[in-house]
Amino acid sequence: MADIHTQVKEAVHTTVSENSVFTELEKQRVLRKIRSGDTQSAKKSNQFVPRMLTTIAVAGFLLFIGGIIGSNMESRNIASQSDTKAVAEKFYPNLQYGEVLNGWSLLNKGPYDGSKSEQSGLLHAVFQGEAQITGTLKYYDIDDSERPDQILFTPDKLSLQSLPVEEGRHPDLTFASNEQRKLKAVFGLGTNRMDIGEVTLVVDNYTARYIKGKTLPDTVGLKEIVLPEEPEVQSTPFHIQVNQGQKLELSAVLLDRYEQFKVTKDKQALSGLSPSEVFQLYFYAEELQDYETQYSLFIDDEEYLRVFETYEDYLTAKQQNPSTGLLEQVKAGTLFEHVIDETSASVSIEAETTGLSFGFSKNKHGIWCVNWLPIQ
Amino acid sequence: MSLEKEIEQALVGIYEREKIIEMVMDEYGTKLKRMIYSYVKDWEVASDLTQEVFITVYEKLLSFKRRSSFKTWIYTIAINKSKDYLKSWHYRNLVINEKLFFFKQSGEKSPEDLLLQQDVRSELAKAIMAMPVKYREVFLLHYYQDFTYSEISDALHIPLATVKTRLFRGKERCKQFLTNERGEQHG
Repeated sequence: MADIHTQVKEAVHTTVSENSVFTELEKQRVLRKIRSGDTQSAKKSNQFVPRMLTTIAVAGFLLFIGGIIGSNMESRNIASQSDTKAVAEKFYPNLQYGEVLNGWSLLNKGPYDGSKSEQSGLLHAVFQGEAQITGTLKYYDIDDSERPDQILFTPDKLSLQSLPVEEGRHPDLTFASNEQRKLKAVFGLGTNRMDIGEVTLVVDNYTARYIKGKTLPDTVGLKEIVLPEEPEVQSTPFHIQVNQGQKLELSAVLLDRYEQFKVTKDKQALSGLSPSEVFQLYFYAEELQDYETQYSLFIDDEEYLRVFETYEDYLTAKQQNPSTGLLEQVKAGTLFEHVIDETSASVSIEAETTGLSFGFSKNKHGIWCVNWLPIQ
Repeated sequence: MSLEKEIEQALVGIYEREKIIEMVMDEYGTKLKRMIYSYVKDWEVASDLTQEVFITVYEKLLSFKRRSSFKTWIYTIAINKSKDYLKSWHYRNLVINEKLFFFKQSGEKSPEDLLLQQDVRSELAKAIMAMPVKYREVFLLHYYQDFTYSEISDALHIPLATVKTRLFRGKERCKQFLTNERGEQHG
């Protein structure tokens, strides 16, 4: 059973707000105030007016004394710091505080010695700005030895031009843990090692990091995940004809095409037909149990994996798993043709409680053909 | 070497004050902000006061006499600043809306938050925040920030016996949400 220390810590951490983190921005505010010598302005005059007068006097005295002692101490240590400074000067060498690189303003630059022992010799440069970048999101699963349960982002070359990155560097980027949680939730990460390409993010608060002999990711703030717009899909309703005996029928024009195709099995006979028309041919063949013609409607370009190598294979499968149920659904359902893009389309078969999608692809001659395993 | 020791060594003089402040902010920034929030219950104010603490530390760094540990010293500054704020004209004229949520603001509620509210940990957090300041500060310094009784006594300038009494009273106020205490009660 957990002791009180653990329970209290869990209670605080479980209910903790994102606001509770002391951010890089807050840190930079403190450093700016220190550098500007405007440390007293941090106090709110309406809160502490009487106290402020005393504090200013005391702080002034301390600064004066501190300055004297500090300058003595600093001069003693100039030699020990000179090596670090020499390395630091090579890090973003031509960029000074407030200067801008690729639209990002430098807030702070230099060694980061000593805050954690493993970070000794670390240089960092903090930038303020914002950019929309595209690249590959990489999730390292829990078993990864170097980065368990971590997310890195590799920006593409074009995106590097909108980040404060020196020429010749191509760093990976990493994010705060709460932002990694957000990315995991949006992209469904968290189980297996995975790379997702063409991910677009809006980022801010860039910190470039360098340590000799190590490859460190730079850190960024995640402002927004830009999700791809859903392609505009044209949806057209259509009907199929059934006769009095509830058998599927074709229009005269389609019947003529069917007869031609049945004889020649040449896809050219389907030229100019829409996906919904090829769909009707497929189910007309189903109605007639003309599986040879039906088999010939599948796409047969080389790059497509043929699920059934020969008509005989297909016939055997058909006989073992007759799909009469699907034909009945087609007759009873509401049908829509969806042209997704230039080479892919589908027909949705919508009934009261079910919805199926039947897929098509254009072959290299621009003719709509049935996908292998079309219901997938 | 612990970071605490590393900071104390840095104080001896191998780093510039600005570098020391960076190290201190990395180590104590979030801890202090959370502690200050437990007094002022407003994240914006907690952020301002935390920044002020670091500026004060920067200003007073060279006068730090090492009579206590650096940790106790910096927490004392933060506690004093929080109490100054609570005593201030500005604070007293605010209409204080006591939020029962420990850290999350009402605007941040998500479906998970609604579940969390029912969670015993959330109930414990609420009970801690509902304690009077004098019990809450001792309780959080000990159980959340891992201060010893003696460190609390130094930081708050109160006798050791008072620390123990307040800790006991604080624990009494939330014992129904502490698993051990419940177990003892029913078992």
